[in-house]
Order: sequence, then structure tokens, then C-alpha cells
Amino acid sequence: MSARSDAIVIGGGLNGLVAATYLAKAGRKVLLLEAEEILGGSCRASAALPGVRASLGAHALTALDPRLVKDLGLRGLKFAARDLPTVALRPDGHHLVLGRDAHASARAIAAQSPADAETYRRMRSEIFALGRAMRPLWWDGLSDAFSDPLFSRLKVASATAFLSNLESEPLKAAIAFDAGMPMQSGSALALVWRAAQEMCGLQGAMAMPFGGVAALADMLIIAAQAAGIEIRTKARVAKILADSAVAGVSLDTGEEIYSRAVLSSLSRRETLLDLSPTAAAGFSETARLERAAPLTGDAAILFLLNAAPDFGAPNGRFLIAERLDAYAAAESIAREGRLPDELLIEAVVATAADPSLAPTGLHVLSVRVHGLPLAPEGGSAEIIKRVIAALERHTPHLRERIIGLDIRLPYEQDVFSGERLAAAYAERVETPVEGLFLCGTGAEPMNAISGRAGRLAAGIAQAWLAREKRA
Amino acid sequence: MRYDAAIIGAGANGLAAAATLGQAGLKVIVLERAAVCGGRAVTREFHPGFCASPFVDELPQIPVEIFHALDLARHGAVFVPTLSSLALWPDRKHEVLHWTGSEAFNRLGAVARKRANEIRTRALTDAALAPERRWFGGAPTPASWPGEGWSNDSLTEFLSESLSGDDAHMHALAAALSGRAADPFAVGSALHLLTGDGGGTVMGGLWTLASALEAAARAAGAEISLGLEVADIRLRGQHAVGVHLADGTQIEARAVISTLDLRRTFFSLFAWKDLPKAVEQCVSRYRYAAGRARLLLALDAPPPLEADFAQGPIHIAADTNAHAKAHDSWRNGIVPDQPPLTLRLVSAADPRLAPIGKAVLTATLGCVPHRLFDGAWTNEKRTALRDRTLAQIEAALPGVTASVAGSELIVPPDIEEQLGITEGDLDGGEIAPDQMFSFRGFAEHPGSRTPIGGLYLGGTSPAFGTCAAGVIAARAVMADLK
Amino acid sequence: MSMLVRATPFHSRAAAANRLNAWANRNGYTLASHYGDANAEALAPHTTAAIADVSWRWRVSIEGARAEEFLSRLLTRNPAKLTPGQAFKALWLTDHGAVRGAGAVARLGRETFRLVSTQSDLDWIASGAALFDVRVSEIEEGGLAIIGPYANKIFDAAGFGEALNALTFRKMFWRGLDIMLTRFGEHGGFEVWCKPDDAPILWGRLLKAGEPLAMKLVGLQAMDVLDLEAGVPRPERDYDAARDGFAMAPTPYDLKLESLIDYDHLLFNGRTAFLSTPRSQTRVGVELDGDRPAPYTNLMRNGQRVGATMNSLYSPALQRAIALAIVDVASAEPGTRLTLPDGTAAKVVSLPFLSVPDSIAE
Repeated sequence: MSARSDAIVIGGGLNGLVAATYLAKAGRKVLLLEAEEILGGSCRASAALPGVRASLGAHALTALDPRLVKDLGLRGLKFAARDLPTVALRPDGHHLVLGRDAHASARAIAAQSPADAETYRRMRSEIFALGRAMRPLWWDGLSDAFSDPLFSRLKVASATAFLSNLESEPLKAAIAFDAGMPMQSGSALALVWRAAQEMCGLQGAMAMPFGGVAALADMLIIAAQAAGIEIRTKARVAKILADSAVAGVSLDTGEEIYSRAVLSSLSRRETLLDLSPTAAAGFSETARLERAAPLTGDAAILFLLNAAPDFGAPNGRFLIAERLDAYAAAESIAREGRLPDELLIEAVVATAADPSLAPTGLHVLSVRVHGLPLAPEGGSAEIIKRVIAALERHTPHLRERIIGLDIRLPYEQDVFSGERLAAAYAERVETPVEGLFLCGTGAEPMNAISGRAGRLAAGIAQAWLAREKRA
Repeated sequence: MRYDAAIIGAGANGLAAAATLGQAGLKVIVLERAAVCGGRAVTREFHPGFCASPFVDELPQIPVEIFHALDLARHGAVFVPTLSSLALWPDRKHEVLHWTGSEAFNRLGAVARKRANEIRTRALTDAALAPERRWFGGAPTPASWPGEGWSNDSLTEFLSESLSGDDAHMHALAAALSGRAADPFAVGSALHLLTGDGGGTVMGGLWTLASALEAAARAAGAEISLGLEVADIRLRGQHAVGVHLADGTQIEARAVISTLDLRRTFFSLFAWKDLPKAVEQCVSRYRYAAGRARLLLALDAPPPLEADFAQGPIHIAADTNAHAKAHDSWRNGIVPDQPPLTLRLVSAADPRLAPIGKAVLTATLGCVPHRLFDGAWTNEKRTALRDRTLAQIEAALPGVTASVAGSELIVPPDIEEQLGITEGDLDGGEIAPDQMFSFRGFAEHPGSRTPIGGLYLGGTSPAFGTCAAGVIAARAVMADLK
Repeated sequence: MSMLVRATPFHSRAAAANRLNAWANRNGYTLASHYGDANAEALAPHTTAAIADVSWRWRVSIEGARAEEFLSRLLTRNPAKLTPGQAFKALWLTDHGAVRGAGAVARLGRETFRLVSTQSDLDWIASGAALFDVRVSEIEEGGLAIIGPYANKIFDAAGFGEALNALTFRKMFWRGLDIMLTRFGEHGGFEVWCKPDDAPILWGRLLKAGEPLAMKLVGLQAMDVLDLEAGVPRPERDYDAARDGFAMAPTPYDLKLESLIDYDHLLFNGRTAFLSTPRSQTRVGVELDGDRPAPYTNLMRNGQRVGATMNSLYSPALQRAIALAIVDVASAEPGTRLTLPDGTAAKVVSLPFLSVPDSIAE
């Protein structure tokens, strides 16, 4: 075995690759361990659908850190769609298009609810202004800049309360989709987070890269390899070794690998409860993590169609969310393990912007279902059945066009909280175990692909390694 | 050798004075003729395996400010106050006559303690004042005069006013007169109540207090010389400038504190011709009233006493007339038929004094004369007294005499010889209104001072508490040397 | 945690001796506050010996294959070093390095330990133990402590056999009773533990053994004075131990208990936080002018508040009121003069104020 690494990165998904690459560029000796055979994590192209490049991980990006492109030399990254509008699908066919142009959106809203139009316009400007102002919190990890009383109010406000000035339920429901769990305290801040992001230079935009996120993953893999990282696949980490500080990891084969630091792209819970030594996070923290087990998650489905689906609306990111109440209802039903009656769905026709994602003549419909139980009764079959039913209300004959599908059931991710959203990156990246850092979605404020956690975790780990060397 | 102060006597007063002066940065030497420190605060083996303090079972409480100033607790002296005392009928007609716990009795004790505290505190503070600063105007009136009631009343009168019930009366009487020769009907005898306040023992025996004081004195930088007898005090004119030792050594000191009693200080440490007439007259008029004798008993088995009663003094009660009669005998040089008796099972509270399962019982007699009408204390007379006392004890605690394994009798001449105290009077002089507090020394020279400049009296002064007289003298020295 | 206040196994005997009917509660138990003169009781440990009911102390049994691992994580010292029959004193800290508890940990066997503390902390220890599959169960026993220069003689007089070294213990069958002898107390002396039903018998036998040596039955107040004189801080009585898992105070430095932490013990709960805890305050002894205690009172220096007293009592041995206090490090030098808000003078002194002599000077 080669000499001891400076850092081990657990997980070869997007975040792990980013963290490893940044560390290697800072001159550190890095070893990346991936449990599967191939890298890419959830952003891999669907394995069940040959010839299809779409990924179950995400169908579009909202928060990819623009500095990654420059820093990691992701030259090939081009976007098939730069500014996907949100289209709230209505049963009566009067779909609402909410784009980045506030005025255009307001006009569209005015058609159904004139009072809401003005409210929306003002609200949107406010959110966007706040997003710009608070960008440093989520881009550079600084947290102390905000003594603004508005900020402290937002930190505890729920999106539901924030949106209460609006009258139209469907409008509220559509906006709330990006707020994580809109009735939760702090979810108002999630809306601001969204507006603090930037894609292709456009604030708050949603963009689709050519080749999907799988292409992004491929580029990151190349960048990682170029940076001189040692990569091992089929290496599943069973335990993190630590006493007063991290010492390395042990694989499920029993092999022990030592390093001075460990970065984990798994969730905080999984890292500290499952992989770390018992109660390494501290008795209270361990107890708190155990209590905070998430009960719900999002499911992702890819439908391979032999004909393009027609939603009767301009191409965009389609939302099926009728009422704001549906979020709370879905949450409480899902906690009991049952599927909600009213599903909250986001759908994108991936091939509409980028036909290369599927073989010629075939189309990919990428669907995300919000707030399902982790072990749903009826399993994937039931979910698929209900999703198709929900979609068919807006795009008929969908069932007949399906020639293949792939599904990712809801999995355990760190629970959203206002506190998590408003905390500095350092708090989310660092753990009570010295030398153990989180670099994945567990360290992100929201469950969205950004790579920022990976970048900042690499920076924090690098600083720590430099201090430790001196000491 | 030149010192700031030479202290004669390493008893509690002498050591406390040395520690106080040492803490103030003065160069001090203490001269003691015995081989050990402590004076009467001594514990010794009187029979193989059995120890007791030969002269007293307890000492009056050390004033708190002195206790703290000398850090005595840390030098190993834990003072254990005597909590209770007991009065028994001589022939044990009733099991227990009276036991402290009655409110009036305790209140009387509290009142006496409070008054004694006030007097003592005043004396301690006043000592630091320079002699020119008279706190009384005109004719010499002692500042620490205890007040009308105490000095005018007789003991019986005072007790009748303060206590109801013959039993409590007799208990208080016995407690006040224990180990003394006093007439309860005499004017001013109420003063005896002030002298018996809140006394106690030190665990391990009284010698523990002595060693704590010695440690405090040494820690303060004082020199202590044992086995050296002071022959006389050197004078230059009317001023004391040091001492001569018996072996011829001369010690120079700017001040001399004598912890010997008044008569011994002046009549044994000075040549007759050197004493001012006033001093000679005052000292000759000074009265002593030694009446204390002690019988120490080593017992093979402890007497059957309830644990509660065994911890403090046990007074064999007698009525007022009996006390007066005893005093009469004493005045005539005769040992009374039934001397006032106080017993104490000292090994009950302090098991160190006797082997486990055995006991030490002390008996303190009062009204035992220093000089008998028909001559000195012969062995015969000693044995007679011992036997008579044992009979008295047997009447109170049946079965005790059978378990006596050894004993020692100490009469006033023994105390005189062993401690260097005039006539063996542990009070340092008769307790009477004209000899107490400021009148104990020289009233015109307050705060322990004497007509001889540089000479201070730091010997026992009842009601001041242990160590207080020495500290008062030390403070006077500090004030005068400034 | 139950709010019930219970009687110790010695209650019937204690009640018979408690003439003044003076009771107090500690750690959920009723105990005699003093049996007679509280001051005389407080002097007993310095002069002859004192015997006191210590059944109120919290005792738990910790058993399991991973018991040692759990305790190693819980405690600020490593129990791997203990052999059966040995014990040590250690702290346990919150995640953020605040003191949650302190106690003696004894090893009974490879997988069996016992923890003794003056304050119960079942929730924390049981839930922590559950993470390691370790069983925790509370032990109900009667306990009597004998303290003082005569303690060793009383130990012999009772017939307990070979002397016991400090921080060791021994189970034995003593004249028909199953007992455990321990020497865990901070004041020397020893403790005897028995089954609750055997308590009255133990009481009788020990009192009898100590009587010829003037052993005195003392209540809780005397024991508290003894702790104070020795400078030993106890949770609940003197300070509030952290009860929130994320609390950051009181720190081991504040309580001057850092000597119970082994800096070479690399992994225990709260270690990282402890290593970066600032040393801003420390525990000191304060002598007060006069005999009036002043608990939980601010301490001033030059008009500024520099700390506060914890518990404070009158010490008859020292003949003054004393207090333990937590003050700023700058005001912690022995000899520093402070005042209470009412003007009473106070002086910082080094601890202990007074220790119990471990044998008698002959």
C-alpha cells in the first residue's frame, strides 16, 4: 500500500470529486474511495436505460458554483437550456408560466388574480434583492454579515407565512416547491437561498447542461484524475477510524487505510452515526442525530418514451402542486409510511432541450416526487402507478408511450431545518471528530447540486492539515 | 544578644505574645525554665498507659480574633468546647440532679459569656493605646470595670436573681467555684461567673494547644529557649533593659514581658532594693487564694455513665452553706470534710488518654489550702486526702474505687513547684473586685504596663480567656516601641 | 428521574437517634441534618471519628462486553488501567466540555464496573451506555462512612481484617453479612456498604465498635462542613452541574477539577471542546470575617464583581465562616482581599482550609 495520504474522500459522487480535486490542487495527497464500480454517484447516467444519458440525480441545475468551472477547468460544460421557467400546471389548462422576468410573470398572474400580480412582483423583487445581499453567506461561507433584523425574522419564518399575502393557492403552492418543507420554520429563507444562486450568469435560473449532469460528472472525473488523485472503486468504507482525531478508514473487507483527514460526502447522520466510532460525535449530538431521523424523502423517476409528451404548455420545469396544504398533508401521511393522495411533482422533458440524452426518436421525461415515505407501502410499483396517473391528467396517453423507466426510491438525507440553512458552512462541514469533515449534501444548506460544500470542505480541511502539521 | 522583646515563660500567654510580636516583625525570644512549652497546657502519663492534664481539664476559650490571627486551626489546635455539665447529689439520692439544657441556665451562661467577651474585646483593643492616651479622665477608674452588678453582688445573690430552682442554683454554684477557694456570700463573688465561660479542651490533650502555639510562634520567627531560667530583670534606672539568666547569660531587650504572676515577677526577679516603694506596697498587698487540688485516677474499666453525661464536667453538688463551710476550713488551713468536687471522665471524649476499654477519671477539689495549719503537706496527709476523696467519688459513682489501677494526687504546693506559680494559684491571684481586670496589675499603668518602663505583665488574668493576657501585653509593647 | 424522596435503609435507626428531629434532603433521600449539636458533630472528624449515613450517594452497576469501552468514552480517565479491586476518580463532560458529573469508578471484574457519585445522572449514563449495548442498573444499598484520626483503629476494632488502601475496595462476608468495604472518600477513612435489609444490624455493630473510641454519629450538616473545609465541591449543593447535553458551563477549570482529567486519555466525550476551553475562572477558598455564612453571594474587588461564592458554612474547627467560590483567575491568588456586597471582608486562601489528620499524634 502506498504511503499515508493527507486525506481520504469517501464517495466518488459530484461533491466527493470536487472536494478531492480542490485538495489535490492545494498540494495534498488525496485518496478517493467509491463503493460502486464507477464514479459519479447519483449523477451517473441511468444504468437501467441503455443509451440514455439522463440521470436520476438531477435533471437540471440551480446552484452549481460558477467558480468550479474556472477552478477545475470544466471547459466542456455547455448548457442546453439556460433559463428554464417554472410552469405550474393547472387542471383547467390555464397553466401559469413563472419565469425570471418578473413583469411577464406578473402579467400572467394578473389574468387569474389581479391582486396577486402586484404582490408577486413586489415579493419577487424583495426575494431577489435579499438573495443578492445574502449571497456571501452561501457562496463563501461567511455568516456574520447579517445583523439585519429582516434576516433574523426570515430565519424563523415559514414559507407558508411568507406567502400568506398571496391569494391564489396554486401560485403559492408553485412558489413553495423550492422551499423544501414550506410549513417549517426557516423555509422562507430557502426561497432567498434559491434567489442567491446563479446559473450561466443569471440570478435564480435553472439550467440544463448538455449531456445532463452525467456529463458534468464525467468532466469532474477527468479533472480529478488530472489532479493526481488516487482513486479506488469498489472500495466501500465500513468504518471511520478515530480516537482523539481521525486516523483513517476501514473497508468492508477489513482493510485499514490511514490518513490524517477524512472527508465524507455522505449525510451527517450516516457519517457520524453509522461510520464513526460509537458516540464519536458526543453523547448529546449522537442522541440528537438519532432522534432527528428523516422519515421522508424525494423519489426520482426517469420515463423513456417513444413519443414526446405534450403538456399543453411551453417547455419548462413543470410543477404539479395544487394547494399549499398539500405539502403539510403529504408530510404527515408520509410519516406514517403511506403514500399521499395528492402527489407533489416536478417534471422536465429532458430531451426537449437536449435530444442527445436519448437515442434518436426517443424522449426522456424526468420526474421528481416530493415528500414520500422512506419505505413506502406498495414499493416502487405503487409510486409509479400514482405518478403516471397524476401526470396523465396533464399529458394524456402517457402510459402508452412508456417503453422503459428507472426509479430511485427516497433515501435518507439530512433533514432540512432553518438552523441548518442559516449556519455558516464551517459549522456544517466540521464535525465533533477532529479531522473529519463533511463535503457532500450533508454540508449543503439545501439538497441541491452545487459543489460548494466540496470546495469549502476542501479549504477547511486544507487549513486544518496545515495547522496540524505545524503543531 | 539584642532583642526587641524578651518573654519570660512559654505558657499559652507567653507563646501567644511571642507569635503576635513576631508577626509584627519584632525580634523576640521566649525563655522557659521547663523542658517543654505550654505551662499548664500539658498532658502527661501519670500511670503507665494513662495520660491526663495534671492541673486543669480544660482551658477558657481563646478569643476568636487571636485564634484566627495565630492561625491555630492550621497549626493543629482544634478547640472542642465543653457542651454540657452535670450535677450529682453526693450520695446519689437522685440519679442526676441537674443537667445543662435548661433555658435559664444556658441563658445565664450566655449572659456571662457575653459580658466577658465585651470586657475582653475592650481590653484587647485598649492595649494598643499608648499610655498617655488615658481613656478615663481624672481619678484612675479601670476601663474594663465589669460593671456594678458583677462586682457588688455575691454569688448567691446573683444566682438567686438569675436562676429559679435549687437544682440549677446548685449546679451553677458548683460550676463557678470548681477548683477554687471562695466564699459564695462574699461581696463581689459574682465575678466567678465571668471566669468560667465557654471553656473547652483541645483534642489530643491540652499539650496539642501548646504545640500549636509553639508552631505559631516559631512560624512568626520567634526564638524559644527551653530549660533556661531567668534569674532577674536588668534595670537601667527605672527602665527594664533585659534579663539575666541563671547561668549568667545576659539578654538585652527593649521590652520584657513577664508571664509569671505578680508576686513572682517582682519579688523573685528583682533585688529588693531596686523596687520602687509603690510597687513593693502594691505587690505585698496582693492576695492569692490557691485552693485547687487534683486527683488523677487510672481505671481498669470506665464507670457506668450514660454517654451523654460522660462528656463534660460532673459536679458533685453541695448547697451554699456547705460551700461557705468549706471556705471557712480553707481559711483556717484545714482541708474541708467534703471539699467541693468536680469529676470528669476525660477519656470518654478523648480516647487517646487511656488504653481501649479503660478510662481516666480526674477529680478537681476546691478549698484545699496551700499551707496546712499544722505544717507542710506530708505523705501521710496526702494519702489521707486521697482516700477521703476516693470515698467521696465512690458515693457518687459506686464501684469506681474497685477499678482504680493507679493514681496521682496534686496539691497546691505541687502546682507551685511544677509551674512556678505563687502558692499554686492557677488564677494568678484571688478573684475579688479589687484585684480583677485593670486592678490586677497597676491601674495607673493600663494595658499590662507597670511602673517600670519596658516591663509588661502578661500572666494569667481570669475572664480574659486563654492567650489574651499575653496578646494584650504584646500589643502594649508594639504600641510603646513605635 | 423520580421526584420521590425516599428514606435510606438506616432511617429507622437515624430517627431514633435524631432527638431534635432535624432532617434534610439530599439527592432524593431524607437524612438527619444533625443529631445533637451540629458544631460538635463537625468537630468530630478532626478529633476522634465521625460516622455518617452515606446511603444517599448514587451508585450504579455498569456491565457488558463493551463496558470498558463505554466508560473510556464517558470518563475523563481511562478505565483500562484499573484492575479488579481498584478505583479512580474522574469527571464526565457534555459534548461541549462542561462538567456533568464526578465520581469514583471501581472495577469489579473484566466486564463489571461500579460508579459512585454524589448526584444521580441516570439519563445521561444509561442512554450513553445503550449506544454500546452496556447495561446500567441502580444499586440500592445502605452505606456508612467513618472518618477521622481513629478511623483505622475502628476498622480494626470492627474486625474487617487487612487494611484497605485508598481507592480500593473489597467485598467480604463479615460475621454473617455480605458487605463491601471501600476507601473512596476524600477525607480518608472508609465506607461500609450493605444490603438494605441488613442496614440496622450494620448500624448497631459499627456504633458499638466505635464507642470506646469516642466515635460520634454525625448528620449531613457536619459532612457538608467537612467537605467545605477540605475544599471539595459537590454538584447540586455547591454548583449546578450541566444538565443540558450541549451546555458549556461549568467548565473543569471553573471548578478546579482539571486534575481529574487525564490529558493522555485521547478519546472521551467533550475532549476537543475541553482542550480549547479558556481558563478564565477557578475555584478558591474564601475565609469570611465573622461567623455568618454567605452562600451564593457575589464577591467584589475594587467595586467590581470578580466572582461568587458557592456553598458557605460555619466551621467550628476554624471558628469562622468559610466558603468555596469561583472567581476570575486574576483574583484567585491566596491572600487576595475581597468583599461581599454588604461590606463583609473576605480573603482568598489556598485549599484545603483544613484536612482531617490521618492518624493521632501520640
